[in-house]
Amino acid sequence: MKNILIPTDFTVHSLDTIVATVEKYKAGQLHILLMHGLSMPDSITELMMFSRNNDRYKLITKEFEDACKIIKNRYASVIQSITLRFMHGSTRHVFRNFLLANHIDLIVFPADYTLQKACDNSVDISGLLKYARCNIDRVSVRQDQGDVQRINMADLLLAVG
Amino acid sequence: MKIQTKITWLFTAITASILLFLSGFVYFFASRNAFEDFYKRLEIRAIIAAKAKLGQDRTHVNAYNEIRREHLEKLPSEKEYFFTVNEKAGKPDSAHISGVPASFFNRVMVEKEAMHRTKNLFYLGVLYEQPGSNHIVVVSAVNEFSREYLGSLKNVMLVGFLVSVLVMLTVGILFSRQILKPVRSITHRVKDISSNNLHLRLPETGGKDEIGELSYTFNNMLDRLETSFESQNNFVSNASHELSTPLTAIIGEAELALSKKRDEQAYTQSLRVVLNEAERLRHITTSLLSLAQTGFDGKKQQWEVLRADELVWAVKQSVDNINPGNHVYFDTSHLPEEERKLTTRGNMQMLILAFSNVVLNACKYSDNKPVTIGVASTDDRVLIIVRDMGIGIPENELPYIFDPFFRASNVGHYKGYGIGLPLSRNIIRMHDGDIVVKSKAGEGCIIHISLPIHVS
Repeated sequence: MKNILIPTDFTVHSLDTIVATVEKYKAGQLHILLMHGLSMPDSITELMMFSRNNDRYKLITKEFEDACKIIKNRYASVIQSITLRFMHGSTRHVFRNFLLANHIDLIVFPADYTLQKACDNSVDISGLLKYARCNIDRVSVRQDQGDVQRINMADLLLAVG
Repeated sequence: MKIQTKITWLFTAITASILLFLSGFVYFFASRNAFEDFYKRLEIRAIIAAKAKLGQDRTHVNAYNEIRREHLEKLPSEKEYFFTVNEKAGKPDSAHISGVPASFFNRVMVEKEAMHRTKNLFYLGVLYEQPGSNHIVVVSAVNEFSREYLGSLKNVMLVGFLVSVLVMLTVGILFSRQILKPVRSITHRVKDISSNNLHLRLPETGGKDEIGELSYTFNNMLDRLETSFESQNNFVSNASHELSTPLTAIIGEAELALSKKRDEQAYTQSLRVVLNEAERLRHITTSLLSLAQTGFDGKKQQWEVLRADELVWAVKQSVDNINPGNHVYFDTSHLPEEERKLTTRGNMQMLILAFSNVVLNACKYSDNKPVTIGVASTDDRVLIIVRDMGIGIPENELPYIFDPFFRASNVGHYKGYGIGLPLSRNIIRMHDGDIVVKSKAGEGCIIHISLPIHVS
């Protein structure tokens, strides 16, 4: 059983990363934790309303959620769970605490794709990776996109209008 | 009753009852205060009167008498009564004042002081205790001042109440009229909209209030009404046009053949054309018939539990039969592991018809370039995705592709009647499904069809 952390920017590439990860580690059971980093607000009013502010959940679209469910159904015997958590803060201590709290065994990071900023206060995780005290695996997500016989993740993501 | 009148009455009733309650409260406390004050005065008088009349020290008696004479003005109809208390009986022998009950004297004996009131005449009795003999002293007087005071207070309150009720009624009318003004304007505007001018819309305030939402909802409904009206109108004209084209061809061909004697080959040629056109006519009418049938509810057909992947294989087979040159691929990589998540309930024949329409279109408009079908499922829907690399659909025409007889502007030489997609959509809708088309001209099409997962 492995707890795998995958940083996400809510795009189709994150879904490809999940698929690539599962394909690589499907020998055992996996708990997949999608993580998106958000910086802490720096004004006192925003801090006071911090726990009340649910804007971050608007980042998760219905399509993204459905695509995650599709992947989970596709690898039902391997994937025990796919959860999504936000990490608040951008320091290495926050990152280490986050990894510790979620019992992360492995971080999977896309090797040939740069994560985008999903919103204005998204945090760039790549700079924090070197402070992690667990294994980091960089997987390639740029697969054979041109294969006409395959339905790509990008085609799936349009699903459920 | 109109809502405006209701609001007015409700507003008036609520404010009037609050005012009435407040007035009663004020009157009650004012009168209680006035009474208490008067009883205090009577008490002082009773004690002084007792000391002046029954006192044993001569000097004190004189002093009290002087105080009474000089300083205490007589109250209106002030009277004093003295009763000696019989020591043995513990009560006065003959205590009686007309209009005062006997219990009053008993209370004086027990509580040493008692009050009684008959209308405006106030009685106050005290027990004057002296060594040797006790007396009951009763002073009575009319409370002229508080009578006047309370009377005028009552009048002021009554008049004030009536006047404010009137004011509230007027304010209530204005208030309710102001509140219902937007509703009235909407009613007025909607009355103007009939089938002839469905393009009219309600003015949108842009606010997020209830009225803004109402007009937004109305406009939305009008949009849909207008579209369905238009497609209804188009349907009839398109249908007659589609039906008359082959008919004209048949009639023309027949007339041409009959116009003079021809050789056998020419007749065969003409008959072949006639047969072709008649075939086309039959195709249109059967499609129209099934379109009309699927427009009704599908309760009479046989429904069964079926698997989405089996459905896709059956569709692929039927497409292979009709169009042997196709390149249809079934991508099974997204299939869920659990079989349960592939099952849906529906009529197999109808669903095959719907899906093969979609897939055949994909083959036709891409000149048999590869078409990929994928099946995936979320927790409650099974998705079937059909992707082609054909000519696509211009983005501004996407809203109309499900209208009967609508054909995109870029179809060019591809033959068709514009009945297939509406038929497919009707069938999918009967199965509580959903069909979404994403496309751009020249870039092919992705069609997503979702059906509900069958829960056993």
